[in-house]
Amino acid sequence: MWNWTFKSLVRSPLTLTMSVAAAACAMLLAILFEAIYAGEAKQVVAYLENADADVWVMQDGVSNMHMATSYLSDWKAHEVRDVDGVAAVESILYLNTVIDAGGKKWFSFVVGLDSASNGAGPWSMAAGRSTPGPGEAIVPEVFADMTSLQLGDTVTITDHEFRVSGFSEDTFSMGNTVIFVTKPDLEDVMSSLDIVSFMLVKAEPGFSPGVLARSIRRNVTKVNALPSSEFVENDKTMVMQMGVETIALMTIIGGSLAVLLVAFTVYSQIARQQRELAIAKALGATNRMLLMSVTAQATAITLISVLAAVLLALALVPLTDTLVPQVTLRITGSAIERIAILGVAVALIASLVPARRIARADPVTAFHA
Amino acid sequence: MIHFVSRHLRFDIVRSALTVTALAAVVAVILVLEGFYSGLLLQLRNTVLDRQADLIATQAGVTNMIATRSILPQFSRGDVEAIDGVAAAHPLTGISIIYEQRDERTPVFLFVHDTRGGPNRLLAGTTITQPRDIVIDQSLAVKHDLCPGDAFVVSNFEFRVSGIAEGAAAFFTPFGFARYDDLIDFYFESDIAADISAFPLLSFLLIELSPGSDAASVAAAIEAGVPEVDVFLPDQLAAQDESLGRALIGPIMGLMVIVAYVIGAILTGMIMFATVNARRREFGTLKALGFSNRFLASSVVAEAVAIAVIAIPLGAVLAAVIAEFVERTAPLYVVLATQPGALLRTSLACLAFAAIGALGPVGLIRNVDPVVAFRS
Repeated sequence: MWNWTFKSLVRSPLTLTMSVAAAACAMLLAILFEAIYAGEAKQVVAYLENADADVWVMQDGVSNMHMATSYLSDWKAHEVRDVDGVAAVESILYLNTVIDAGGKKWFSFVVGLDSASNGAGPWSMAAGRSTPGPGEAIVPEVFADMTSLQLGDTVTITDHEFRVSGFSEDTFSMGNTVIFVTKPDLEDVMSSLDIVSFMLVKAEPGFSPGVLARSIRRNVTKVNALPSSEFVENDKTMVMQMGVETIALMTIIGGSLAVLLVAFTVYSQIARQQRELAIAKALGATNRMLLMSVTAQATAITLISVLAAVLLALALVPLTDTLVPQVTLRITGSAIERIAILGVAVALIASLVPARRIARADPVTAFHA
Repeated sequence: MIHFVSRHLRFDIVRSALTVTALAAVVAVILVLEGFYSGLLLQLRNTVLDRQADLIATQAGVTNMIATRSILPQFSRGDVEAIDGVAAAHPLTGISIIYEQRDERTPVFLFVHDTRGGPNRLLAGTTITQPRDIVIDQSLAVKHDLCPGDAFVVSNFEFRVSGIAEGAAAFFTPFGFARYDDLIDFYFESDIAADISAFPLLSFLLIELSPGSDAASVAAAIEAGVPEVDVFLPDQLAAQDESLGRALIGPIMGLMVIVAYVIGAILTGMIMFATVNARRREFGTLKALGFSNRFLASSVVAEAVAIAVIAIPLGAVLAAVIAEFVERTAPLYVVLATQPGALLRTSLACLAFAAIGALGPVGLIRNVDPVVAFRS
């Protein structure tokens, strides 16, 4: 029986290929949407994950970085430094704005660094210097490629021009491109003096980030302090919460299409074999055996489609990196799992219609001309 | 021919219905994706146009309203109002804040206004009448279950929701609207900097022209007289924000639309191949009866086009239903699913897929031996 099931499935390889390709493309749509958001969520926290801080300090009432506004008087850094267990404090100024390179604009987060920055600057460089000097900016390599920027060219932040002194890696995404300049330069851009946005705190050996964060909150007024892991998680969660509606919406749309295509594919495949199934019935195969054969074929078509969709998505990742560098894709196991479960469920339901026909079929029909 | 195609479509009604539905779903997906993108761009445009200004002044060098930070010197308002042709310059500040409720965070773009620049349309409640009043977009109200009268706490500063605005969102971000007095209280209460001028107090000036003034010449006069600002016509600034949106979101949406079109092409090809393949015996019979290859091929193309003609309007209706559902459940988004341009583009693509998909299996028909009709 299983041998016959397999032969039926592969008897018309072109039909099977096209069926699988159509269902796989629909599944790919759903996988891609989630991959885009997962990729974006990863990039949103790339800076936080790579910055060398055990604890982050920010304005009271603020608990994340992405799209947040946080202002602290710069003298608060001294108060934080005096807290027991603090080894070092580094302050950054932070601005979200649009930068312009050769007429091409891009939404970016500009980080203003102290001249002696230790852990708040770029963590991986493709070319040039990793610390910006006065009037200099470090931009992502991907952005440089998109805009044909060379080292020494200029980018504009509001009405201030900066000379590009380095290309950083892993700092580019659609919603979270990071540019580094010096703090005094960013103060000029923001017309703001004596304030900082966030402080990166290093703990002395033996002090846990959680305990140190609590100690800073207790000893320094009007600030919030969070262990790095919690700060990163807050941003990641917020981005996923921002995207959850879109992901759900697009998954429903892509999923519904996949559902229809799987149903169509399975129905066509089984309907084409009705006469053969009737012959098998006439030769003594029970309804139960035939139903098992039908559902096995439906499940196989769906799983092959899921596999094809995953392979297509994996093939698209390097292709997208090259052709559409603005898009960061990250394929997650959970997305694949959801699509596979939904697809198999639909395939089984779709196979019920022809299966019912088989159950009712009179074996005599097999011998009709 | 029409009778022949019609008979075949009705022969296996379940299969025909599934075929039409699958193709309609592809059409709907393409229309919804295109509508989603168009909606995002429209929201960006409306963010500028809804501020209802004759001209808009930004910080020199700033060419967008959304996703950017513009900081104007406070004295620039007086300087702009002193220019001939300017009736008034209404201040407007934009700041990004995070609203947090029960561990759920939502970025909000807060427009702080005085005499102009507030919400355009209210769904519930009133505009700002009391200190600490705030108007929020309906998407924020739906997401966090907020109603007029509820508290709205940002960075430990408590506002009170006075109204719910409609269509006040862009760039995946809902807007809030508050008054200047409350922004200053917000800064003072935060007690984090000794000098309030360290904070952004003025981002844009919404310029109202005197009757009979020419917008272009007044804009030029302002830029010449007040070098700290750049001046734009609202349409110009709106177009720049839309262009930024295209640069940021266009590649992603383009990728999605391309995938949807590929699905449409493969699906149509698959349907037509399966249709012809399943009817080889029938084609053999027809050939034995004297029907030409040309007639049979034409009937297949006609059938494909008939399926597309039924599927396209069905897909458009489906897209409209999905768009309505999305806008009701997630009012942060606008989905313009039935725009004439997208509809025409998708319809033509669908018809082309159908015709090309039907031509593929013509070879199968040509190779059918009439003898197959007489095999048992």
